[in-house]
Amino acid sequence: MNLDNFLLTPEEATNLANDLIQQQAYKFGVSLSEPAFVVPIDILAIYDVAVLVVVAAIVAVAAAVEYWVWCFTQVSC
Amino acid sequence: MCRHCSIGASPHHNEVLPVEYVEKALREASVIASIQVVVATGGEPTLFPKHLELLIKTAADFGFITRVVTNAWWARTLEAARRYVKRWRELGLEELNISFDDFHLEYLRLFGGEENVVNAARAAVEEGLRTVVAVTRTRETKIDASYVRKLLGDLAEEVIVADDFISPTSRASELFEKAVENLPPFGGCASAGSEISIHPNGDVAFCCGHIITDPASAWFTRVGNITREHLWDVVDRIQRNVLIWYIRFIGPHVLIKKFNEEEETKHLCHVCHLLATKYWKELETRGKEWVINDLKKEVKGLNVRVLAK
Repeated sequence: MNLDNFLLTPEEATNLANDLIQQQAYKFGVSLSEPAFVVPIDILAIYDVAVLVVVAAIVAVAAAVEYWVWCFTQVSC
Repeated sequence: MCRHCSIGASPHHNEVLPVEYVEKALREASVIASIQVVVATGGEPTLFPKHLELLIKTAADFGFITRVVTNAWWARTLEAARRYVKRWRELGLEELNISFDDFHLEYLRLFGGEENVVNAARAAVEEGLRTVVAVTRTRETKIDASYVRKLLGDLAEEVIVADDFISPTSRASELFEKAVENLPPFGGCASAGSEISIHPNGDVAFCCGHIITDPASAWFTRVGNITREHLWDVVDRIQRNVLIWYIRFIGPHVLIKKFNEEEETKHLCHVCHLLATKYWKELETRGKEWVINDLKKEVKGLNVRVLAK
């Protein structure tokens, strides 16, 4: 099993992100004539959708690679 | 074994990601501009010193911010703590995150005790590392953030002390009833899609990966494998998965309430476990279009909720 049934095409992803951002930005009267990724991030952050802007622009997520190793003594983290 | 371990780390697990894939993961992450932080965690990463040192050095050379999560078993004395931290600092370490709580203390006593935390924090502060003590709690545990601040004494102002509730997954599922009250009805998972975790067998999860060792639900967060594909391909799938968007921005607990209003939602990771098991058929049947439409509806609702705060 996997989550592939929920994958969007790049076009679907961009369109949906723009839809969502417009719903949020509309409250502030922000013009969205520019591409989604130049919408002022501070305004969007207020609505917890800052990262969505990044997703919309199809650039990388703000990610942290976690390198997992495993404990083999009685001490675990 | 620590009763609160939400990922199933134990003396029976000594798997580690082979060095070649550590290097591959870091090299591939280095071309993804927004990946900025590399974290070594576990289990206890300091039990694999060669891997850990390679990771810190390679990650620092690529320009990443580097962080180690540890229980400070190695800091019985201040002198010992200084030796370890100095070595890691020379390799490029920038942040030390010390895990400490009632559950860790049971075993930390075998290597010293709570003084280890003070020694490790002091050595880290002296070396100029950003230093965090992270506490995991239930409603019944004694150690919390204020306890740690008192313990740190003069260091308290230079150390970030953070507390969180256990994730009732893996062995910690035994503590479910003591976990916390139900989650508030809104607020997405900050980890989903903004952190990725790479596991010893190369599996990549779209989040911090608490359920990655659960036989029933591990598949849910697994989105690729570093031994078989480029990290960018995995990140690309994460970015285009509308279910991950929903989990990130709205929250899995909001989703699960659509299926069963009565379901207990005590921790986001536990809710993802439920989505992967008890509610997967329901979710799969409703499908992508339903998730898209519900996401739109919920985002619209965010305005109301934020304004109401």
